[in-house]
Amino acid sequence: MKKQLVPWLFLLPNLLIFAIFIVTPALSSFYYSFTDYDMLTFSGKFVGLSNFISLFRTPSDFSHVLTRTFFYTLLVVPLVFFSSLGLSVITTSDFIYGRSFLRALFYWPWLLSPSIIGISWKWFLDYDAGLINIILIKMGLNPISWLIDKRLAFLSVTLVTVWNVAGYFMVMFNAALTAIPVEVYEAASLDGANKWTRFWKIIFPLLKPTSVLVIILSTIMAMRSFEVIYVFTSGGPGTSTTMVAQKIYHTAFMERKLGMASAMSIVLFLILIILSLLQFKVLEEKQ
Amino acid sequence: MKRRKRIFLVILNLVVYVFAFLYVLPILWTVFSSFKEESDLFSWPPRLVTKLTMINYRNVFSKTQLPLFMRNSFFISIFATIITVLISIMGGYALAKYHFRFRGFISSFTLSMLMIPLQVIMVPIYLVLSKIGMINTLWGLIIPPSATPTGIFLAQRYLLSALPDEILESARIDGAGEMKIFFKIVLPLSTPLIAALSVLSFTWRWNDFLWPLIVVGTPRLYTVQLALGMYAGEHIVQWGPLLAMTVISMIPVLIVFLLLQKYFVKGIATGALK
Repeated sequence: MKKQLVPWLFLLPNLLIFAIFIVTPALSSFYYSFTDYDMLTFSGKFVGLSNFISLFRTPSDFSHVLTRTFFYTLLVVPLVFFSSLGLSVITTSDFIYGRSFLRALFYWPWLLSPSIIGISWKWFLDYDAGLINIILIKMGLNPISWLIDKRLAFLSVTLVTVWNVAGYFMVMFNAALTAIPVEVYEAASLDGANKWTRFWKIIFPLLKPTSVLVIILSTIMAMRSFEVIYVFTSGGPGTSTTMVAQKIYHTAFMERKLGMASAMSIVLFLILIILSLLQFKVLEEKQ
Repeated sequence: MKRRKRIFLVILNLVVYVFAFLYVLPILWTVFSSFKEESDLFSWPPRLVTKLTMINYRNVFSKTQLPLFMRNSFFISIFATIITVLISIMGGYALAKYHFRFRGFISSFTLSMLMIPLQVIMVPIYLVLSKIGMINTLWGLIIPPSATPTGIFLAQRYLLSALPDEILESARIDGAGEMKIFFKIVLPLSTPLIAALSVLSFTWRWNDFLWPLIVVGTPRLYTVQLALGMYAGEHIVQWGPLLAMTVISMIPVLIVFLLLQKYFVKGIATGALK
């Protein structure tokens, strides 16, 4: 009888923390989203669906931010996919020397903190002192206002995100590529066609489970983007690089509208839940 | 034919290494710039090569509160890692080696915690923390993120395969209590697991930005990462000390990574979770 209790004791610390700091907030988030709770008075009353209605009454700030986040995700995901696949091909190819060194090097950005990434890129693209602009000036060209021009800032944020996560997905592709039996590579090289076609026709289809996972995981990451951008551009200029998560943060902690921020959270929540369910389905199939 | 192939390979490698250099150039530029004098950072016309000094590094210690931030970061990362490693192994062990009702449910429940990222619950979490008095405290920084589904999952996986039931059974026959078995047998046999979890946990906690951003309002409790983010967002950025601080903040994770690289890769290959 007592023995039944032992595993629960071992699980207790984790379950307690999950219950207090994840489950409770997640559930209360639903409740707050139907109220006009604010952080000045720490009180609010039930307002039904009105938060959600004002979120989607176009044009609202939120629908702009949501559209921008979708667009950003739509750019990030294929770029991440092909760059991490490319890095993986480089770091598993027999023709390249120092592969494990290169692997560590490409993985490095994933190990850096959001602050380090944000500051380094902010400095690298600085109008007056960034390396790229210095080189442009040396070549007698005009410096480029990377983080002042709205479109260029958006593009910079997108590229930095890709740079940040590509090494992580490279490792996943590496695992898949090295798991392909040597015979497949040999069979592929016997075939008359050139390397490029051989890769896409024979190797690439074998990577499908990993590819699907990479696409889902990078979509989740892109939809959640916050920290790197927060340090890198603070969401600006204007709101040109503000994504959903930062909008939630701003609405809650600057404008102090917790009810409204919770409604935004629920929208993001539902999108991410669907993606996570897909992820677990793929992982299950893989096993 | 053979010679042409060799030339092609040399060129191919050259191209790859130039690309690799460009890939990490933004970071190298940060490191390089941190050794320039403040007046050289924005000199006009810009110069690539200037006198290198340690002045920014001296300033960062005298003009900012870096030592305090470092102490906070180390304190939080180390204590949180100890807690994470211990409770992850406890949880993983329960799920791997005990048969009890709802085991399958608890297992999926744990994994499902991954579906609720901090980004979507930061508002209610703030309210929970303020209700129980954890805002602006070190424990508020340490405790809540110390339970992690990834940690429990990795522990469960490892103990299932690396810890034979026979050892546990014979210890029980010898009359050892369940706690004694855990601390005297399970933990000592988990060294590679402890190493892997420690590396992951230390890196997460050292690099964490969003959690301290929510929990901490006073500079006294800033972690290095939070301080960096705050300084970078100021209107007039003091680039010299900021760059030096950035470089210093990279060092602990870099050391951990170089020493224990294989555990990182293992963590990714098993999980694809975090």
